[in-house]
Amino acid sequence: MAFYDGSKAVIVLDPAIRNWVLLPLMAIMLLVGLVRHYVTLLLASPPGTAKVDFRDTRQTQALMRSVNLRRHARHLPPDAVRARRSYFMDAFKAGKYLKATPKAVANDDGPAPPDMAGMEMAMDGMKKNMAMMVPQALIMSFLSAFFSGFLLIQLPFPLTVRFKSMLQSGILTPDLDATWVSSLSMYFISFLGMNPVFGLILGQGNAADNSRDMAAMNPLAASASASATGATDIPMPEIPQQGMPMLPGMGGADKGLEKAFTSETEYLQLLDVDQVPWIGEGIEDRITALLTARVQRR
Amino acid sequence: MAAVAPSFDDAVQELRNQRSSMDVNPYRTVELARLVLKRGRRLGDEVWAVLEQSAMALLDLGMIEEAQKDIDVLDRKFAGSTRVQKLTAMVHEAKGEFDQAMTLYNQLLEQRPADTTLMKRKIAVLKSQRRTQDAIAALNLLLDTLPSDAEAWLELADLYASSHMLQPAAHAVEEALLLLPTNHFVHATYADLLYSLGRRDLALKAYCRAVELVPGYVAGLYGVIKCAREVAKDAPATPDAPPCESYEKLAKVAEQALLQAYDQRAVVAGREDSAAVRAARAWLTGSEM
Repeated sequence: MAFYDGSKAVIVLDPAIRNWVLLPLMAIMLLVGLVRHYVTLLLASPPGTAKVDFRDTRQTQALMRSVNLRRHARHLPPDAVRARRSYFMDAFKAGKYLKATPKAVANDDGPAPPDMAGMEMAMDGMKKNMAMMVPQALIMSFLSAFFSGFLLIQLPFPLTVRFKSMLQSGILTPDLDATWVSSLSMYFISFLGMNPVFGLILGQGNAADNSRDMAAMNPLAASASASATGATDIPMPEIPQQGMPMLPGMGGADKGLEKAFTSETEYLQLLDVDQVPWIGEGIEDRITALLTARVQRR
Repeated sequence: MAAVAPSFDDAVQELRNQRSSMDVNPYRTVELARLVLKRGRRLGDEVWAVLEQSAMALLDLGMIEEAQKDIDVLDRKFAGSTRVQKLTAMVHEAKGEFDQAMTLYNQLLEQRPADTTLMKRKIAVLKSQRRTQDAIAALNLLLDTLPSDAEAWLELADLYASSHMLQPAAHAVEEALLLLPTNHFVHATYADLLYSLGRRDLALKAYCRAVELVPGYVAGLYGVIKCAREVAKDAPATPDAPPCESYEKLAKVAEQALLQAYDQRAVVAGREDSAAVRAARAWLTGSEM
């Protein structure tokens, strides 16, 4: 009984698998996504009502302003850059932008007071993470309990042998083509690809989008995107991110910012305004050449 | 203006782009919105955003009754919403009822303390009431907390310039420049202020930068020509400054570029130069100013 047809084994799956596993799985994923979208909408508070302590914003924004100065210094005349540099250095040293919390200054190493606004943001972030992780965990346990140990589908694109251990988790057969996959792997693959479907049904910017959640989960991607925004050319101080689930010691964010201000002051000191390649240097000649070329071309 | 009316989908997309960009042309918005709202059902939930956009554009153009009609539709759907009330306050502003507008904005700010658009509208009211110094103070306060808003810095520069406080205006434009370093319009604005402050050498560099970013930028080219001609006449600023011949050369080639731009426009428009263009040509090719 040769099942081999050249290099591929001819396998025919029971149609019951399609009816009772594949279609319900797709339906469940779709419905869970829709539920996630509507639940997020219900949980979200209207914009602008979140309790924002503007002193926090002011701190971070002042830091960003200084970073921006260092990043784009070459677009301003040197005198303007010099004036701003000395202003920021003086202001940061005097702690002008710091949110003054006398308790945090008094006991340096003791437990810092809990930061209410920060707590709320952390809770909000955790709620969103929960909304995403819980359904995923549930579905995965459901699948591995009920739908393990058999093949579900053959993928339409070729795969190398390496993928077998990943995609055929319950099925240990050395000869089986890697394109045949189990239900858990089908779940993963569909999970990754569901975004366009949700985009069609729910419109753009829907809350069932898992790309943002993936970025939040994946620290590598987060740091990659941070450096990709062009911050690689200048050193940046460590700014503790708000909205990440930090539990006890939320007041530590304030201390972190004090350090950020100190390091930013150092970076400013290191900025040698004379070395900055001002775009205005020799620009008249550049423009003469540019316009001459332009006039001659047409 | 497009000779052919855009298709429904193109109009919707263009309206979406306008919502996210700062650069809005209210005439175009109203034109597109009218087209799109005729078949409003096709938009689904987007129709509300388009209605809001259309209401604001109509208020920009002073068509208050029609704006009020759009706002009434929104009010029926979203009764008591802060966002709709903001539009109502804008109607008060358009009618000149500034005290009512201000009271309403203050009320809304109590419900939404973090909404920066409300804070900016308050400043707009102050500006309309010609309380320029109050507007400047309020805007400075806003920018102290939220300095990464280029539009706000440019507005501050505008307010300072209208009060003849040119140095602070230049400072504000520099902040906007740090936030939008590749925007030719900001460079040209900076150049205008520098010129008014008497720093023609720096103004020339800034105009040059505007032209470097957008080589066909007519305002930039005019700036280059005027500054280059004048700097060529002045004594050199520093001993190692470029000699005046190089400035004259720059002025000449900029003139040619500008004339070329006018020629191209004449070709595209397919008709004679208007009187303004003829005067400009005379200035360019005629005597040095």
